[in-house]
Amino acid sequence: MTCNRTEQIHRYHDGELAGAEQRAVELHLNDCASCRALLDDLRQMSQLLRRAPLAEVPAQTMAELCALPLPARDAGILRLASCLTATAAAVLLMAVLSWPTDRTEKVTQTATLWEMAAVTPPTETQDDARSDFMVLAKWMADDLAVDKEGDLR
Amino acid sequence: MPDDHDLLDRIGRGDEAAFRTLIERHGRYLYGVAHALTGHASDAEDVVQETLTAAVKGRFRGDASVRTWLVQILVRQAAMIRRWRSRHPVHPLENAEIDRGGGGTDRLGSTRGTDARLDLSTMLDSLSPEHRAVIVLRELEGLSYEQIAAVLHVPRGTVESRLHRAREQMQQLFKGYF
Repeated sequence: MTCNRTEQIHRYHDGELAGAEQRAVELHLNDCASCRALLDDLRQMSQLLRRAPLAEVPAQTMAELCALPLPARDAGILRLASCLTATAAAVLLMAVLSWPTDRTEKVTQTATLWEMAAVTPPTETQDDARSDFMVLAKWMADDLAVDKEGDLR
Repeated sequence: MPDDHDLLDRIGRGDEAAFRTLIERHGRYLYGVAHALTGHASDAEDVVQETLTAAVKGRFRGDASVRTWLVQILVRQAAMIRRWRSRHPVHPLENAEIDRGGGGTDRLGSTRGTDARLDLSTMLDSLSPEHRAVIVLRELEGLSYEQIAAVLHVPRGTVESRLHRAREQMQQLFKGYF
């Protein structure tokens, strides 16, 4: 007949119990032949496993293992660093290439577009939102206008 | 003679001789455990090689012996190789070298009878890979349930139930050897 405390016996055998629970199991073992037999089996099995010989490594395998070159320890870190460096360089390059070389030209172009939007005559069906937009566009065009020398006013 | 901690320090500084010493010191044991876990000589060698590579690249925290730390890595490597093998099954002829190790051991019921000492590979042969792993970590390396759970990335309860079932299975098989 098996006792229902087998899991506790395994834990006890493995040193996983402490305090009151451990004492309770020890008291139980005094009264339960089934659990005592299980504990005895577990101890013998553990002994058998610890003493069981291991498969012998073939001489050639051992020679090959001893001939292994020392792996590069920080290869992974170096690869990561190079990836990050390459990414950073690419972002910087894109930023430089997309940076406007002549700022006034860009402003002039922008002003021209807004000016065109501002002077576009409103249609009869234009709603309030579009009207507001046109007012805003004209205001922005006026603000961004340049003088004869091409400088911002 | 440098201890294992010294060896790891030297290996970290690129000392090839220290790496060789570590292999000479632990290689046989690691191979034996790897063989018990995988059941294949060639897989065992692969597992040990991967374990040594991972150990050099990893970081030893000092919360266990170096050997136990190596076995923990080895158990994970064995699981990784097993997963790889399940996705890349070998041709039956290529698998003809399955053996039970160089110790001349036999499966149960052989003509050698119960007088022969059971080797670890034979004892674990009937267990699933998951059960072998918990038996190795608990019985050979003495890890706690929590430590085993951390190595295998499973809940503590899973460790307990696997250990329980593995032992029940082995009790049935090896009762006569007790």
